[in-house]
Amino acid sequence: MKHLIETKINGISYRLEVEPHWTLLELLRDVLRLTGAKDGCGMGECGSCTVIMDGKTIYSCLTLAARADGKEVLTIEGLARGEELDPVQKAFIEHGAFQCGFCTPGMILSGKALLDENPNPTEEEIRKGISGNLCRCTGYNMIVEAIQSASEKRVKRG
Amino acid sequence: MADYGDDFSVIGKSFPRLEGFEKVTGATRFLADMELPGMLHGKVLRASYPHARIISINTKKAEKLSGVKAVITAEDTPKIPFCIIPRVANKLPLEDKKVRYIGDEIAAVAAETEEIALDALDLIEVDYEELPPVFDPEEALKPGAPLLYEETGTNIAEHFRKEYGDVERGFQEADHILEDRFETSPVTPCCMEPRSCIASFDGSGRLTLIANTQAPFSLRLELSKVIPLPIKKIRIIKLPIGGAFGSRLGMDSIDPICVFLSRKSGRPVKIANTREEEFVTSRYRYRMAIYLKTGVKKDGTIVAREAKVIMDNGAHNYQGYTIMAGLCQKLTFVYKIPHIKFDGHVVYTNNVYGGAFRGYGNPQITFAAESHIDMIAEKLGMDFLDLSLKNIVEPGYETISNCQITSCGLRECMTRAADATGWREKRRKPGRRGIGMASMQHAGGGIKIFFGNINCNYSSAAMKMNEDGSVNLMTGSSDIGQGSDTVLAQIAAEELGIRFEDIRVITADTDLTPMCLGTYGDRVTFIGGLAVQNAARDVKKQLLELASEILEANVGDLESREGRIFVKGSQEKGMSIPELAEFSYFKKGRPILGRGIYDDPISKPDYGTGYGTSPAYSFASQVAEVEVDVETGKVKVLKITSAHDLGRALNPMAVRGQIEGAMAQGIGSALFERLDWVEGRTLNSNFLDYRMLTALDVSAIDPIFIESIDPNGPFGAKGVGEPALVPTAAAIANAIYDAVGVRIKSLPITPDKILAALEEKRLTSEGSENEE
Amino acid sequence: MLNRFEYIRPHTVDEVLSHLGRLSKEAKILAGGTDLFIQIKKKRVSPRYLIDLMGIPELGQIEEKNGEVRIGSGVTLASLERSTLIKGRFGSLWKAVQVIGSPQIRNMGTIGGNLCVETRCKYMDFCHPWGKEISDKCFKRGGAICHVVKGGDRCHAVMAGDLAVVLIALNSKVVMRGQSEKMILLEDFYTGDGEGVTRVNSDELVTQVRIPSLPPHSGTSYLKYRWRESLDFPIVSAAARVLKNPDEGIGQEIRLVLGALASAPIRLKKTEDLLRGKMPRDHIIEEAVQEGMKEIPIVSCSGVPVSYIRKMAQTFAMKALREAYEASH
Repeated sequence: MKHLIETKINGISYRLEVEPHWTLLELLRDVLRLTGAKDGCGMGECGSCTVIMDGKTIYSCLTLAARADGKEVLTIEGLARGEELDPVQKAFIEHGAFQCGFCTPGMILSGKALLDENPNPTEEEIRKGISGNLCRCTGYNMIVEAIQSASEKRVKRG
Repeated sequence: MADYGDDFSVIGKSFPRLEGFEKVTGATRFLADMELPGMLHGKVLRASYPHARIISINTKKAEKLSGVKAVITAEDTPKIPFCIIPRVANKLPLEDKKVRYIGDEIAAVAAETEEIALDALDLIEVDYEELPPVFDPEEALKPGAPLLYEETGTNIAEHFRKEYGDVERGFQEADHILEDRFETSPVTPCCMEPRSCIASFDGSGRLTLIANTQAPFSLRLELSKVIPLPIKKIRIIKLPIGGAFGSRLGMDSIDPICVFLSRKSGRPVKIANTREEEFVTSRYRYRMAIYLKTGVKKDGTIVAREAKVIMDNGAHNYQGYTIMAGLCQKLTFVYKIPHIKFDGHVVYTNNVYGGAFRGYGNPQITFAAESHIDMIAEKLGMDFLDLSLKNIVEPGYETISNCQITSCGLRECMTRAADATGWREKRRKPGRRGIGMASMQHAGGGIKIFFGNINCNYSSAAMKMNEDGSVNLMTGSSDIGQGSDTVLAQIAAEELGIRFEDIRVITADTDLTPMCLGTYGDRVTFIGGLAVQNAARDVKKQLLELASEILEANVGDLESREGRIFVKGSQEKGMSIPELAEFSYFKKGRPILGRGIYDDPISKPDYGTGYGTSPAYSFASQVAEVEVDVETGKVKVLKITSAHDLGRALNPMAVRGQIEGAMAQGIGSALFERLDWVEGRTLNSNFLDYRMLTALDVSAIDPIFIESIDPNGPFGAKGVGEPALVPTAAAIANAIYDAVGVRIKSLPITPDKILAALEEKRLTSEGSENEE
Repeated sequence: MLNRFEYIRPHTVDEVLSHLGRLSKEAKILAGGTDLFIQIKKKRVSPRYLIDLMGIPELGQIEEKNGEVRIGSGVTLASLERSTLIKGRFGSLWKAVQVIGSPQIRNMGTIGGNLCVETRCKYMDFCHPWGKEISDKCFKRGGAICHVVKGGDRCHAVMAGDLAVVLIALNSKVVMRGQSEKMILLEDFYTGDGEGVTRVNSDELVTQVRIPSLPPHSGTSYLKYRWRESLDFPIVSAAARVLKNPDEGIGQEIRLVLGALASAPIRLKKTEDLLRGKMPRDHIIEEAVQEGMKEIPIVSCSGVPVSYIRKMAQTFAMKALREAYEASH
């Protein structure tokens, strides 16, 4: 039996009928065609499905679509404002914080969520903040620098 | 020899990735994100026994399931075996008589949804006759071991032997001889995007395969033989890939299986590995037992080296033989050793078969070789650095394996890494901290290897200038995430004299892009780059000729830079390239089109092994600093300093990314990573049990660039994609020995091994104390 | 992909219980989902109904009452991490929460879910569907053998959850509601079997964890030993709570719990007895731990050698005790 949910995704309100067994990742990718969140493992281990729900990062592969009811979801597609990139996105480009790009949407959202909660993190806090996102290409250090740089830029912007 | 100077406008600058905006906004479409209209979902039925005869396969129930559009077995295929080395091919896309590893493909289904396809797999009935399996290659060599290919009468897939000089004499001259056994584990690439492909036929029977491939033209060739289909009827498209690292170099069974399903169902089909399937069936780094014997004189001259290698080939032939041949070549690297003997057995076992993974055998042999150098240094009472420096190769040297070294910054790599880390002050100090070094040499411009029936190393590129002076660069090389598209654009922009922002790069589509053999052996910057440079020169020639007409100046007096062509020394006497292009297209009536080919004339083929030499060699030295917790055996890598001779850093940020990413993989395979095989099962087929590094596990990495300016590479550059993980395990093993005096000769060096070794050391020293 | 099920969203605990009573074995409780969905995706369970606990107010409270801190089973790990009450009162619990999983897991997972986390064993799973012939033979998968303990008569999968270990050391209780309300010691909550890991019946719900205030002059500790610094379950975990006699400095009451060694957390009662009334000198602690460990059966379901796990269990038991003693004033 399908469930009717009302949810806000990237600022847009939706009324959707979802199958109970759909994950949020499947809803985003297969139904709404928001393919930024990736299915890297399906088991909540790699982090490439990370999205932000009500301000907190979650693994969308382990979250039911039905659970988005009454909640606000932010995916990578909702981060930039038109051509204007979020400071974290800009920093990733400037600091070479991605290579193949598959883990990048989830990684950027984890970085953003960290800075939203802790605008001035130490290096250790940044590493902890992205400790649920695996990257095979970069070795992480350039990602940490990018997030550090973004935190400085965000503070300047005020 | 080209004289480059240092006055570049694009080269040597850290331009951000061409595809950056798309990657950070999630707009990049990976194969995982692609759908075609009417597309079906394919799933593969794989063997659940490591060794068995297939008595029967009954697909009737599966075929009847609503939503199923095609079910295939080997009977639906021409049963042509495939392998990147065609003469040893023994893997069928779908096996018909026998399965030889858990995961061997035997049937496949295409259905409207993934769910239906999985249900259909469940309905396929397979009758097996189990056969005794063998999992250890040294066991597989023993008489009476179960045979994977009875018709050959042996489990030896290949026996490779080579001798340079006279090792017997060499060992006689030696004052000290060390003999040790080293062992490595199978390590998997962990590409973040699981492997997948989409196959579709158009109305005329022409196939398009969208594939995760590092070598689209090579894949096209393999498919043409296995389907079979003429090359002109096949188009391979490579989309942005979520990682490859060598595992996507050749064809995988899912590629032809997908094609067969599409043909039978008449619809596009997508097959995508689950993460578990990826861990179980991906190509991975072959595991080896290396028996190494090194002879050295008391003054530190290395006189002889002998290696016997037993490589676990897995169940089918793939790249085992070329990697074995490559191992032999690598044994002759880094040091000038006059006598070398190599004896390698590539052995079948009922494990999944391996393939290329970043380093191509070099990580394994370097672990053994550089550990041995450390052991020898201790025996002689010499410092590792001094022993290495005494024996290392230098610019212009040709190894006894006919590898011609051109540029070589190895000495500088070693000394700079040592200086940067305070090597002399820290070495052999008491406490729990240790410092260790290891060096390596690797192909820096591809290798002359098999392609079809020839050994070659080439690339080609086409360039068209648009009416507004922007450029489309088309080449067959594959950007597998390492940023080669961006670097090729930089080479093109510098050579042509236009702005980086005005280049658009189109790669890896066999219909649209000129031939390149693919991305492997660190070849794209070098070979691909030289082809692109030639194409840019072709276009520049046309521009300069046109400009000379308009500006009334000699071609030789003109220069092209940052989007302008002008008279050398008088910048104001010139015109912009956009103006020139507009003139050419709309007033002169002439399109601007260029082509470039680079066919490596330097390296030499080896027709026997298919593994030739390289036109340039990259070098690196790494110094690892560690701290060992003697209560738990856990190793904390405090820092790794990695000095790389890469010819020239065309894009420093991209180079740093390659070095750091490779080193994280190197630390992983040194200390954490191992496919857990038990009786043919991969027990850790997930990211929780397979310990790939997280952000909290990686250590500080200090990359140092040594620019030896290669005489042949584009603007002096050589490859840098693979080297950084090659010496890491040895550097860490040597650092652990420096810290706590235990020598671990098997990878990964997990804490339990260190603790056991510390315990043994304690008992041995107590025992000898008691004897006193 | 998850199997198909019906999804129920009750608003109160009473409603949950009414559904559970009706549906019982066909239903599973959905808390954070970080464990349940893995069980479903690996085809270990296929419930026909999922009862979602999200947002039920009674399960989301942290409160102090009658000398106890009471935590609703639906409180997320991230909420515990942010709670100044928990950080101030139970440092070892606060420390334990921070090293569970990853930030995403902590945002989603709940204390109740972590206490009921499924046991783990590398042999349990294999690629579905073609690999199920391989994995379905073991006890946990409905078969009749154990790959780890050859010839064994039950499942020996390991319970590696962090919170059970630290909460048992803190002498916690757990409240369950079904047909009636029960409260039992957390250390009695686990069966010691690799299947059917807890004593929660299919018509019951864990509603609350109750932690008694720390007696004066007590110290606590929690140590998690693992090889990676994130994601990994522990190779061994150890938690202690020690009450010290402030005048004489001897240990009056000692609780020592080890995790990830067997199908339930293990309390080293022998060690506790040997330490009671003694000064916590290093050699006394060492001997007490060695003696207490003698009869503890350890199983390795992770591929790490058993002899190594045993050594680490001893090492970390001692460290946990020393840390707890040092923390007690």
